[in-house]
Amino acid sequence: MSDRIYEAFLRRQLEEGMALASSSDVLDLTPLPDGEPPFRYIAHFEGHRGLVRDQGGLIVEFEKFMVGIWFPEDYLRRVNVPQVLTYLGPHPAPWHPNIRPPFLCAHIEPGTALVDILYACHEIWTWNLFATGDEGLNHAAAQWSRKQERSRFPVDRRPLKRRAVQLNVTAVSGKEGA
Amino acid sequence: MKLNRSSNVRRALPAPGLPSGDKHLVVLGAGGNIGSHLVPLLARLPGVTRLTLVDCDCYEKKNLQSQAISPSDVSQPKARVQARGARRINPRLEVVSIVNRLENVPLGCLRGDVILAGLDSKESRRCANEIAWRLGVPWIDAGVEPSLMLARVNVYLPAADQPCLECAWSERDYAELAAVHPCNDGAAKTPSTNSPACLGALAAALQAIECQYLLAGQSALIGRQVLIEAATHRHFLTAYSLNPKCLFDHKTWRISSLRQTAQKLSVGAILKLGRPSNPPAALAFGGRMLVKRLDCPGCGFTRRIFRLQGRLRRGDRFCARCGREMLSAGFHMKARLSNADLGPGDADRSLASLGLQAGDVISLGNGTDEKYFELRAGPVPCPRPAKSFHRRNS
Repeated sequence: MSDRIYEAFLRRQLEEGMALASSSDVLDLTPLPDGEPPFRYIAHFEGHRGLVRDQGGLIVEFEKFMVGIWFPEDYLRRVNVPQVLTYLGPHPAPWHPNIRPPFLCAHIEPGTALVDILYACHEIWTWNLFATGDEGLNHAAAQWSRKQERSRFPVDRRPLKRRAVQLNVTAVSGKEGA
Repeated sequence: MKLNRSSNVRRALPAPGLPSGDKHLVVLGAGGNIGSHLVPLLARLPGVTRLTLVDCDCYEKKNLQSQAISPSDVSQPKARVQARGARRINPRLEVVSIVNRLENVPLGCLRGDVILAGLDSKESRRCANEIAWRLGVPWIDAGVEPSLMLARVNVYLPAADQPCLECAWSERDYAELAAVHPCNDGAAKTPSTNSPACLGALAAALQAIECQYLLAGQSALIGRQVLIEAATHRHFLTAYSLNPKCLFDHKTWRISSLRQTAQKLSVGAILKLGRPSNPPAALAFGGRMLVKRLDCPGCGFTRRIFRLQGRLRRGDRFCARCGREMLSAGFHMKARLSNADLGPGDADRSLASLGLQAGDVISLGNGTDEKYFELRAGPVPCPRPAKSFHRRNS
């Protein structure tokens, strides 16, 4: 029973996840070959700004981050967030209340879809989502964020999915232009 | 789902007959509001010769009002207190008490003729349902709702055409299960039901009656629920049906016994038992994950490890720097272990070094064709009858 449902779920995630990746300029989604249909993915976000702490302790912008996503066999029935999400780098010190490598904390319920997880990760990275109400995983980042002006966030407002732009071009004749 | 007044539906059954042979009952949540009233009833059931009592908690002062204990039992492990009580009632009874979280108890130690549960959380009941189905043992679940003075009992029989606990669950039920988040320091404790002792005793009595019928092979409540509304003196019978969209796989494992113990068997040796297949056979640990690295979500301290989740030693579980409980991230765990995953020396590790114990069930296969094996008792045995047994290695 569950196997068929779980398998159908995985196939749907693959289809929807790849569709989202193909309509995004910043997301590259790689299904890992250890299962058919795949149950593990590496999501590579590049091009949208997040924050990291550099070696000198400064909070600076950074444009790359990778997340490992795993849908274990009982994912439709119970969720262990550290098991589902793994921060994979490349920067060793991401700066966000919800991230402390290798953990990344997001709201996930049993059966939450891959695309919803990808959106949540993107929102966390770009500081669209950060008011956790508690100290989260990175207490220093939580305290820092409370001292900042709200207008500083999100760090990057661009959407994950590429916007469809419809341009209506009208030819203007030379005479009219003159 | 049908909801009917019981008088219209149910045929009267004769009093239960005597069960044949020696019967072994397993009680999950043995020391709670229901369990503490249930154990003495089970100790008095004819034909019952062995009880296994599981409860991870210790008694607190507040339990004196709602549970069948005395002040001298406060601060003692619930399972041990109830085991002592059962032995006093029936000195010939073999009683094993296991003080551990249900999910950490080896599956083989929970094999009995009937499993009875008086658990206080949805997650524990989900776990009990899974255990009963994997072992193919009928189980009786009981619960209370003090605000409406409700007591209920459900009987489940693991079979292809029978409903399980999760058959009646919706997405909302799953969403209500406590999710593990890395930002929470420690697991949330289930709040007490504050149920009066009499309501727990009512549910326990119903459960013991159904157990007696099951042992005699006569239960009419299989796949059904009986619910008593004590406040209005009404009772209801609800019939559940198998849900083809149930998220639980309803699989009962065919488990063979291994001749060797976890101490003697190595990872490499067990992998050699797998038949050549594509994908290659891999070793799974009865749903437990193999942890290869632990990280402290508080201070970032990291520890390399090669042990099963739920079987971590105390020294490994807690951060050496800040004392917080360490966690493993998904990409540092393995659900299945194949030859390709083994590093230098990993093949020679004994299964015991991974935290596997007597009674644990492991499987070998490629996901579609699985063979299940139960580890035999060795020098560190599965709880022996007539002795109190204390496990605290979660």
